[in-house]
Amino acid sequence: MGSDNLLNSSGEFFQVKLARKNRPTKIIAVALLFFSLMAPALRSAEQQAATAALNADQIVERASLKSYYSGDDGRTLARMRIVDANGRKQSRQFTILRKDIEDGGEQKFLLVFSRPSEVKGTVFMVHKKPEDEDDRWLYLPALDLVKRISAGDKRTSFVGAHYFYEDVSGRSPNEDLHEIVSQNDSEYLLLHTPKEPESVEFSRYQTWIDKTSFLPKKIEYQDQNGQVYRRIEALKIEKVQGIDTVTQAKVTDLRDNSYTLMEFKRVSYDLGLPDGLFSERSLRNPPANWLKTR
Amino acid sequence: MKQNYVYLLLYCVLVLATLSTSNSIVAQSAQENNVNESKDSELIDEWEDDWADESPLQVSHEISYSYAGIVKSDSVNQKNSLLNELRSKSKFDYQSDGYSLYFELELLADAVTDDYQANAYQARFVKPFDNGTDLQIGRQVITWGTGDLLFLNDLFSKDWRSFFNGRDDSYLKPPVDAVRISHYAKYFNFDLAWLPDFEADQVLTGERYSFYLPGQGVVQPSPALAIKTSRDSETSARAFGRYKALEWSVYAYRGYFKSPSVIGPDGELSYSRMDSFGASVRTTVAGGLLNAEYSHYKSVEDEPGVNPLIDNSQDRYLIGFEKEIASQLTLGLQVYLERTLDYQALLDNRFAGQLLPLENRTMTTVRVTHQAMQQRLLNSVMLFYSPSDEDYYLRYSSRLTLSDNWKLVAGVNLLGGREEQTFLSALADNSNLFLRAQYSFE
Repeated sequence: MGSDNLLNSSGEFFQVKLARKNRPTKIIAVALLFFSLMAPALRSAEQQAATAALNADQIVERASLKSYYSGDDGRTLARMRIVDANGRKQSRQFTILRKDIEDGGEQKFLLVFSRPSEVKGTVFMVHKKPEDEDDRWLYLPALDLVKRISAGDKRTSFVGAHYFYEDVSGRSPNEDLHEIVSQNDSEYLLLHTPKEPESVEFSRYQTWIDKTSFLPKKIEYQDQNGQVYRRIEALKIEKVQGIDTVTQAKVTDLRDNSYTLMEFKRVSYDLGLPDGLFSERSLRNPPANWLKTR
Repeated sequence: MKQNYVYLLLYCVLVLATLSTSNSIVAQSAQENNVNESKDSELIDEWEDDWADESPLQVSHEISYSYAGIVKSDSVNQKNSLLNELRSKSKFDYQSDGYSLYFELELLADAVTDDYQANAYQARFVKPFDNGTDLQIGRQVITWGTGDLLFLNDLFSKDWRSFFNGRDDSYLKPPVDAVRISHYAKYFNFDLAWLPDFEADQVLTGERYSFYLPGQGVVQPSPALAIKTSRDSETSARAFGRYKALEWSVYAYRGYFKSPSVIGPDGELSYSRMDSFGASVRTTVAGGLLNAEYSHYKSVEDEPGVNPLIDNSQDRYLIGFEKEIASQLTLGLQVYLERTLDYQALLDNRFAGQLLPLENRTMTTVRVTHQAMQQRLLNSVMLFYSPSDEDYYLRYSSRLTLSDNWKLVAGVNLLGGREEQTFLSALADNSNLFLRAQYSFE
């Protein structure tokens, strides 16, 4: 539910109301003309009013839902190119299956790796619980080993990339204090300060959130001296099944210019993934039917 | 001389295999050079064709060379290396509607045992059914239980010959010929594995390692000890499930003790019957993982424990805890007890000079795992120390990922103890340093 949608529906609401009053046709025509002329101005004014009415917490919550909870479930091919400070490259490719148990709440993820060949068949499963420790498992096919992973530091590298676990599964909005720094017609600039500074490596971070899609277009993390040292950017946003979806993104470590590029392909939402898919069965024998993207 | 030809032949096969994929390698490196000068969008464009194709047959290869050199200058071992081998593995994974096939071809040239092999390392057929049942038939790896390199209810074959010399951890669990039926339901799941031929542990016999033999001390027996091969089938089963964060399993096994203990009239070693049952739990506690496991081994052929040549019944207990204590630093602790039952009967009936296990054999382990350089470097050090036997095993390795294709592993296996006849101490002369280079490609 973006602000655009809200406005569209209220615009229609006025027109329907007018039509129902069954006034003479001329008046209706004038009224319609008036509204159609005024609509852009009204929209812009109302958008200002509606968005200004959102406080920082509401914006962050909406952005979190947009970024991590689109649809009831989803599937995508994903790949990363990890480039270190010396230009050495590594890649990862995997398919992600996701199912939301509750919007903004519990989620289940299954990541099935296909590249590099050495990790092919490795499966990572997470039962994300924002109010509790996540349950995480890793399946190592060479040993047929289902390895449970202890709840670790969420701000450590995800499979060697510049992305952290938390960037992939979403940092809980409750972990930071949020404030609006500024806004213009198209985006908000927010500042976030951690409630438990000792639990994270940054002192604070800023996000630039698009007012239409509510997707963060840029996130910059600051160190203890206020220096920006880490940046996440959405490079490309596409509409998939009517849902704004980041399909290309980049994380840069500005201290040494190493970075990870991430790309998503063949994204689809609302597949009706069964709950039982996110179980030990899928670790051993990944569900071929649900993983097929074509 | 014969050995040299084998190496030559193997090299040719490997070179051909490599050449057949060299086009893609050249293309990839050309692409990577361009990438350096390009911007993000260009980089992604160039990347576009590089998505793995989704053809039903996926093939990948792995070539590795490993060497492990013995560190003790006065070692009784016949050779000064425990590992000197070139190995290639080709993996074929075929996915069809409704079933899949997996095949691994392994070529091995082993200069320590002067052996060369071509193996169907794994070959399995997998059929998932809509009712929650998976059927897996063929040569496959099967693992369960909660221990970290300590096994109670996992009674699938272990290759101990691959454990102390720096081979990859996965070689400890060799594939076994089995029919495995797994059923997954809402409240609990069920696993049944039937092995038509008993698959024993690959124990040390002298083809590679030295160890302690009663009456002979520490030796590398030559010829290697003879072991009678399998006698019958074996069956493993478990029921398992999860309640919130708690994972539980109960296990049952019908088969044989996995190490030979029965000495036949011809001096050949063989296995005695054993049935077992057990249980385990694993859950999250205090930001870490806690696991506990129990198993009972019942010596079927000598229940009262009066035959000193047949293993007595045993109870085995394990408690473990693992936690990430700092960023990228994980600590794992385990305490293990192996209690030999009917011990008095064993004492009363033993032969003069017979080496007996302690009634209570204990083992503790500490493992520290550390990741650095953006997880390119993985360091793992695990210390096994037995308070009852007063012996130890230090198992250390560092793995450096150079690229998607290249990997280097180096490490140390150090064994020792107070008395030469205890399990780990008996292997002291095999202490080694190892190095492995691995190249993998599609």
